Amino acid sequence: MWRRKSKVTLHVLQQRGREATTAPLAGQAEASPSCEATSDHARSASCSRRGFLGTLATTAAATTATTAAAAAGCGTIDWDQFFQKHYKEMTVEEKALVFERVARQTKANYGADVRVSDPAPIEGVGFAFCISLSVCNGNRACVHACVEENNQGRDPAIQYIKVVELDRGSLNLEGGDLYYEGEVPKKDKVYLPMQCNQCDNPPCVTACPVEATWKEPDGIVVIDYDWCIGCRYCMAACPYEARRFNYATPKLERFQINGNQGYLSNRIRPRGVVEKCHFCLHRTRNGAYPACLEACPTGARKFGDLNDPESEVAQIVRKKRVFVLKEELNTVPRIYYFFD
Amino acid sequence: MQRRQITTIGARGVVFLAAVGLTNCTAPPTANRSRAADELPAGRVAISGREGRIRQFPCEGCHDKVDADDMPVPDGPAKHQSIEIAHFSGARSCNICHDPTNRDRLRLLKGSTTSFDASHLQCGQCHGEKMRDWNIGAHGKHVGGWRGTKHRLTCVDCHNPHKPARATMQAEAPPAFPRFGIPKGAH
Repeated sequence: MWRRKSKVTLHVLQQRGREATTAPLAGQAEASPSCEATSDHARSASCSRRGFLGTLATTAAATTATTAAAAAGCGTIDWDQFFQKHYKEMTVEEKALVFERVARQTKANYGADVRVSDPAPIEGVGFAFCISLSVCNGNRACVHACVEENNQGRDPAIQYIKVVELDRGSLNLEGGDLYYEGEVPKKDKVYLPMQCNQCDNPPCVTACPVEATWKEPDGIVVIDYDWCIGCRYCMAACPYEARRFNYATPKLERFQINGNQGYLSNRIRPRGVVEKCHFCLHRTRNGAYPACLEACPTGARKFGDLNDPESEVAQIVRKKRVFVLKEELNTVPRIYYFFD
Repeated sequence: MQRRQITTIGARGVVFLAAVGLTNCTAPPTANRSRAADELPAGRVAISGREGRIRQFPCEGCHDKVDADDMPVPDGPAKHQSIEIAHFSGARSCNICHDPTNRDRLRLLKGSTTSFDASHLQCGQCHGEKMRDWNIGAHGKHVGGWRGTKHRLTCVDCHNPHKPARATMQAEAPPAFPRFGIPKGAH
């Protein structure tokens, strides 16, 4: 009930916003009278919907004066971003404008030239990972390759992949160790890399009150970082602890930024949104392997199209004894583990 | 009633089994698998070459003049002192794997030879289980992309054939320990 109500509220807000300011939507944000900063500054120092809602809550009585409230709370506003539609409702042209805006903001904030795109899901393809736990030696090359590929903040450090060190013969994840160091593999230990399982029945998507996260046809669960309000319901709902929260604006040096960015995947996240593994969709939808697989020195990771019966993952799932994590929760994960 | 039913099904089953048996006896023997299918895993797969990456290949460049058959392994051949053998401990001769008549070829147990580019056939003679996993893509590192032709590394890309066990390695940095966390075993 709560969820439904909040959606309606947002919708109404958007409608009002659109009626009130049609001109800035047509790309004239610089000329907005309530935004007194220079155009470049207005572009770079953006105010998110989340911040706006916070301001709005404190001045709830004045909800009709949306523009005034926003201007008072944020100082400078990127109107294009503020009145952006839900990603799934955007046309191709609108998306192109948004990609351009993200690239411009990255240039302003980090000084890096990036190319933002969003490759569409390939029809008939369903991605899956298979990970051999007999081969994985817990060296964490995947963890750090993922950080570099996906522009995660370095301080506080965000990592999508956790490698759990388990006693051989046990799969009790609660008894595992995430902070092991030194030579690996250690005697009588097994290493289990965990990341987002891209569940076919994802509890995080159900939990999101604003539909900022959804499941794509190729199986990947994506997040629109511009739409996320940072409530972290999805983090509470995920049984795999796969989601990470940006408590601070990600800190990245210019040379650390990967210029090949996807709108729904590895673009630099703003503060106060949730992020997670997305199977490197900006790479995989173009036919490449995810960064973690390419970095793995042991070859424990296998990736491919589960719908293609000849693909490696389909054959492994068919012919090997595979298991998924927390099967009893009926989340239907897309990461299969096996021993060989 | 129940008893009669069982009898009826049993009779039908016998007839069916007999029919199946007869069909099988009269059917022609299944055709042998083609040689190409033996050499490469099924599907669109390309494997990495080896000969171009061996320094001083072809081996026959020297071995047509020099030969040292059945050199005892502990001493090793004089020109290949760097080779350390930690594989197949019963091996007393290089010629178990290397063809003494043509050093550019590898010897198979069935008597024939194979090239260095198809060395996985030799490994698969003993490690059939791993070979089966490698064939379906469950063992070995994948390179390239998931679409179209699959590029597969072979055994010797990751394992030194003379000392195949993989060494341990240094783990990269762990995640930061939680500020208020208690280490394992400290409480």
